Amino acid sequence: MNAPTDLTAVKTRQRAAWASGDYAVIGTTLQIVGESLAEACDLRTDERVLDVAAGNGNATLAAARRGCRVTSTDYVGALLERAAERAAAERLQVSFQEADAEALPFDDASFDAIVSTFGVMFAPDHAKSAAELLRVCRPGGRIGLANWTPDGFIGQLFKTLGKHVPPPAGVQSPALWGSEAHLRTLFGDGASLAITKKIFNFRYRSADHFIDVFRTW
Amino acid sequence: MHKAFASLPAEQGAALERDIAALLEGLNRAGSGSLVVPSEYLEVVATRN
Repeated sequence: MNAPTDLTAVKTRQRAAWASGDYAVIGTTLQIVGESLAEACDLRTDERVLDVAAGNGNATLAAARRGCRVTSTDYVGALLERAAERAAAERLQVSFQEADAEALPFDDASFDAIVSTFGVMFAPDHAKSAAELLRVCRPGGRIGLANWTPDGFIGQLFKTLGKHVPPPAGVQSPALWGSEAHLRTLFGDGASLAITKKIFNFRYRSADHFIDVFRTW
Repeated sequence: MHKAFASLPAEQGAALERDIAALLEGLNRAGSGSLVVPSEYLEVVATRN
């Protein structure tokens, strides 16, 4: 049995890590995932959409491009600034707000759809985050997620990183959000799940180029 | 990932780099001239009951 983990401390370190590089350099390459998710959620014009852990705003832009009224949140303000620049370039109206995925500052059932691409999966308290997504989504609304799987490339990358730099004890792996069984446990009777395996292709000049970009940003 | 490298002494950083390069090269489907690494994810649509 591990000692109780101080998830607040974990989150503080995480936040510093995300803020310390310019993740937007990598994030922007993942835009297609946001577009695909927006279609999978069948977003409608004027729907109220919340992007949780929006990062540099891929799902935010995808929803706003479909005429949705988007509230875009992240706990790293610097990332939201990148997202705001992108929205402004396209003349899209988006409301940006710093917020913690585990304590969303919104009323119950206040959104028609919630989206998160490779975002909420990184919040340390999985159960609390899932409960928050369910709480702010109206009955009949959709929660759309893109989550790396444990066996895919990023899941394997997490394992490789973990061998060299052990993750904090007692913190569940983000890649669990890419396991159907874990998702069913997290959402329980709160939602009906439709799950599709998809592939994102990382494209770089070489392995060295990939490492160079990821270790710099 | 930059934090992982930053937290390691040079020698261990080099070992991490070798492991990541091996992972990337093992999954690369672009041959020797470029890098295309397919990465699996779940696209989930949960409809609130």
